[in-house]
Amino acid sequence: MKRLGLLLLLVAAARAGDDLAPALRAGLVELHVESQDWDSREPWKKRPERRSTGRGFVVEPGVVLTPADVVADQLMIEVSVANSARRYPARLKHIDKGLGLALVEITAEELRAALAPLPIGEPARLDQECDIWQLGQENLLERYDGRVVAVSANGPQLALRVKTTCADNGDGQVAIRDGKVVGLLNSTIRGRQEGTLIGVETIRRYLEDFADGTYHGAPAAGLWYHTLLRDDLRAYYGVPDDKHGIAISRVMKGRTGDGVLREGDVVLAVDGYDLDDEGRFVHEVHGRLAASWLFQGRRYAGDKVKATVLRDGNVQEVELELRSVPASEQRVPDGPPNGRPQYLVVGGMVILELAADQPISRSTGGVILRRYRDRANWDQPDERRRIVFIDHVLSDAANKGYEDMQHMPIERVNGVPIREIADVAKAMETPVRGFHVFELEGTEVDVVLPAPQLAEIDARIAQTYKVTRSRYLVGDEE
Amino acid sequence: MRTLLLLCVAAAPLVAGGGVDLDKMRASVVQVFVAAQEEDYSRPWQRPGAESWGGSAFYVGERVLLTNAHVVRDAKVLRLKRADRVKKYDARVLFSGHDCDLAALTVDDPEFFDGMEPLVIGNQPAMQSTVVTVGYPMGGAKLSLTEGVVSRIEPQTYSHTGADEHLAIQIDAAINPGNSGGPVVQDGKVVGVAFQGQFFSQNIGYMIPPSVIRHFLEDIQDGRYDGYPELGLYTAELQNDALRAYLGVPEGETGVVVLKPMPYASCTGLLRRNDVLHRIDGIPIENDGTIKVDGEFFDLTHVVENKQIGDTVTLTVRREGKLVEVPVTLKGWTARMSPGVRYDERPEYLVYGGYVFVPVTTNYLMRTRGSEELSFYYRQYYRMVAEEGKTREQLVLLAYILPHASTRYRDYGNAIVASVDGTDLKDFRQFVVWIDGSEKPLVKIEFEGVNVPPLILDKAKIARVQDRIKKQYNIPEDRHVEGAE
Repeated sequence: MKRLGLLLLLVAAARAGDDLAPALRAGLVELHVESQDWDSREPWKKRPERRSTGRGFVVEPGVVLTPADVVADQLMIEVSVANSARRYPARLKHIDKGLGLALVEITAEELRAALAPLPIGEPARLDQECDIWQLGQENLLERYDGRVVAVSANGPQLALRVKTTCADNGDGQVAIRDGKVVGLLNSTIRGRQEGTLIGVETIRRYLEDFADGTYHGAPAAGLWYHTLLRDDLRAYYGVPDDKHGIAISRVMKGRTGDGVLREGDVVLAVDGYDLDDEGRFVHEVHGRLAASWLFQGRRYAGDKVKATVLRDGNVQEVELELRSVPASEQRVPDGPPNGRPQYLVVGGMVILELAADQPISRSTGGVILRRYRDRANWDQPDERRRIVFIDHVLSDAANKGYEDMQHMPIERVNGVPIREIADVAKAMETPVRGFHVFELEGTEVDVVLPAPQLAEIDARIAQTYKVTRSRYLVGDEE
Repeated sequence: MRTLLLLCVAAAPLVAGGGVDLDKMRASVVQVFVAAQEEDYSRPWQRPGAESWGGSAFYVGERVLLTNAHVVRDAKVLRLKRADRVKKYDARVLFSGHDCDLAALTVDDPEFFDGMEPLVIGNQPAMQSTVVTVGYPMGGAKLSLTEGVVSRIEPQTYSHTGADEHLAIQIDAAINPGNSGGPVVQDGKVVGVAFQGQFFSQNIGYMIPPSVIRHFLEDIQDGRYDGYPELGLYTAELQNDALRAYLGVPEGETGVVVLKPMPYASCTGLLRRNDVLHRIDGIPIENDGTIKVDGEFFDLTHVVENKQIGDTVTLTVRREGKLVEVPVTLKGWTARMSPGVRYDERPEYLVYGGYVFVPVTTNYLMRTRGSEELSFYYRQYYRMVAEEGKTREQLVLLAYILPHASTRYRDYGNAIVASVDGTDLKDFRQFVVWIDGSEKPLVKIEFEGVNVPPLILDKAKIARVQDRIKKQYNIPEDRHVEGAE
């Protein structure tokens, strides 16, 4: 009996695969990506190029959906398909790093025609099984088991944690249930047989975002709150025992809630969902999820949602516009907003704009920079658009005494407050009594360079350190 | 073995360099026995178990003995024993100079001093000259003498506080536990006090030089130990040609640039940003902030090191192109927060309804792992106290929470108090006074950091549980606040 049962199971699995195989062969692709990024410390250089592979599936004729990480910093993309060794040209169509998804367009006409989109299914629920498919070795189909073990809202993303037998890197394998896509494998934890799927809710909202011809993206975080599990806070915010929600602790200028919510407001419900004291709500499919899903994951930037607020003892309805902050408007963006870091090399000082991906030391200035980075979405105590800093110094006779400086934020140059790196170049057009004076944060030591000799000094340093280009600012020739 | 060692010791007076009169030393260099109890900065209402250790001390006359401050720190019982007597005599500390690691002791029983000859403080020994350390290091009970050679003379961090730097003399004779406080002798005179060794090295010992010993003895003449004066200036080197030119320093002239004076300190109001210090008491200052004394380079503060609080130092300053003389009357360390380890003090704290509040001290920080936020503020230590008009002189922490039904919050750990009822407070004492005196039923404490929830103290509720929490955690007193009753 036992033996028979096992046999039956095997047959059943093989069948399911057989039925799906033609659709999967036409819908799954492998991506071959050449990528290269700029050296963030010495941005006149590029880091060594990297070659990597990833995967995706066809969502519309000639267009492939893949995790953003697969194609970030890409120089060239090629695709290959089932049962073929050939590679076809493709290009990046769109990427949203915050949401974690990207679209790749296949440019080879003959391949576009040979592929067909895979249908997107209903959300997978907790404890449901799914199959994880990929084009593996020799571009043959491979299938692994998967089971959803947790569902959570992670910023704008709906993420499903899966136990899976797939031991490869999670880089775009497709989770299929009842013949339809239920997620895109984004990462796996080696040795734990575990990975994370980007759920279909997130996939759908990404694809549908283009419907009206413009991409809106996800609303930004920036609405801060305290949970109300503690009695002392409930008493302080005046929340009766029968009311549940979260207390707004800060509303950032220009972000969601600005002008509508204020500190101390207790948000009881958002977009038709009641919140609990931990800031969670009950999702119709997935159960308890973080409210970030309501603010960022479910809607598009620019959408309006209704919220129920307890203010000064009165329950009232307010309307919130969900706002996004483009990278170019972020004080500390995740990386260079236009892909290429802006920089200046003057008197051997390598001057950069702070981005979240830069390694920052614990030097005196570094501690200040880390603080700006960690607090970028919490407070912005001044008018700076970016944090401009001296990353390090290329040692030369002209910068004697400053050569050990590292990670020092710049406050003023020649008396002009620095709000972004372009201000430095501009301020240097008007030296003070024949000197360029850099005022730094974290030290009262001014850096002084002689203006008349600077061109000569810069040429010497460029020669010595092979600085092939002494500046790149947006608007400079590429 | 032991006999052999003693024979060698007996032979020591015959050695030319040492010049040690053994009989005199046996009377004047005494063994110190200490029973001490440290303070526990993380559980400030209680003390850890008592400890005992030993050290050395020597007689300098007028019933005063010198030893290291670290030998007699936190001492509850102090006894001295001469090598030529059996009896241990009760002693007490007259003055402790923790910043220079020297302490003055006395014994009330006059009999102790019978036939004891004071040791004379000599001059700074020359490089490569032979010295003898005298004391009671580990490994035996009797007086021990070790010969060594002066191998380096330069300012060192005195490890007792970890924050004070003074001249120290390195010798190649090992300084071992128990040696501390004993004299280092040359030609019959004291040329140093043995005080610290170095981990992971052999035959490196340090002694406190005659200049620092004299400074201490001079300081206590008025019946009080005041400590070292501080110039209280932030300066930067002037290595850069362009910076020198920008500040109007003539070609060939040297000095350091003033960044800012500390508040309420020696130079406050006298010096300002971009002044260039050119000379100190007439001695030219190099571009790296050193001065040349007897052919050796020392930091310019070396001049101040040899002065007492209240003395004057004259600074020659280039200000806006002109040279001016600025006489400065010296003050001590004026900031409330000091970066050094403290001793002989009871830690301040407040246990209020299970919430343990403390002021930030180096002692506390040594006992805890701080957050990024705390390390930021700690970095700003000097900068914070250096900003005139800044309300905060001390940082107050919610150190941790003693779990109790009324305090089941895990949101905090070393949270820095930003304000109480919306008010930025000056120091720990003001914080305690505010909480005691607040008439509102709820006191709101806000913290530094990103989105740290405020703590709302319900005074009536805490009054009900306070005694229970004290009992549960065996806390005899709910607070210790300096200068408050």
